[in-house]
Amino acid sequence: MAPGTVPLAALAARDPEALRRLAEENTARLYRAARGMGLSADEAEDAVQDVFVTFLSTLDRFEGRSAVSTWLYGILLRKAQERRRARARDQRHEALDDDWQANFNADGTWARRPAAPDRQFTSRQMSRSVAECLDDLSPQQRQVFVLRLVEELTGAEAGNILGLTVTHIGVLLHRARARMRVCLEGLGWNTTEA
Amino acid sequence: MTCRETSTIVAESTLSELPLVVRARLWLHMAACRYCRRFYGQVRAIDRGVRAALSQVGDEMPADLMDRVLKKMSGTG
Repeated sequence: MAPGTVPLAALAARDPEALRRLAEENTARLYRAARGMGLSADEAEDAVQDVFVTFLSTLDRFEGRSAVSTWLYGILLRKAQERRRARARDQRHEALDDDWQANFNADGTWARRPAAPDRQFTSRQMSRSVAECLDDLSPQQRQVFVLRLVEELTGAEAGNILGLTVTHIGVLLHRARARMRVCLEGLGWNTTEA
Repeated sequence: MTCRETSTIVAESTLSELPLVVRARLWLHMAACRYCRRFYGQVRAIDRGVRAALSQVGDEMPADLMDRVLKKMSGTG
């Protein structure tokens, strides 16, 4: 049987083999996604267990129009949001749009020209700095990073899970990358030509 | 296509997903613009770092979590 094709009827009947396959195919991915979304290890463990329980209890509402894994991500997302209400931080990041526009002249050419690759910044420094900068992202920006970069979902799939348009996903990805760039520059990564 | 347009598309998307005609216009611009090439390189470096960091953070999943999930699911309904 192909991955992601656990029969729904078997799940509804709590068939042990079907439950085992559902858990095998999704537990590690959901845990990784939960941690990536900024939940602590303990919160992630609780959230993952809750996701499966919620999935089974709402199985009758699942119409099979999306993959089971997508449905599970959607549940996880709501669990993560319940644990991390941070709308104020999301709003704070809107200011980045002005920063981005300041990179360009009126004719659309670069005003702050990107620098050549920074060979002085070691990969160890980069890893440490990226980890530090990720903490500064809003939960929604982290969610987009998890779905787009780690889980390698398309913009449409990520939008489906987050309840956003593909355009909005693009804007969030842009803001997350721009935020990381500014933060990394603050930690010594040379991104702009002197 | 200006540098602003090019770098905004680069920052908002994954290039492989873009329609062929948009990708062609991007590559054409970047072939002639070293600053947009550099910006694209920075985005790729950030993505690599983020991907590595976010993947690692889930590597420490407790070995018994799947068993607990199964137990919890079996107890529902």
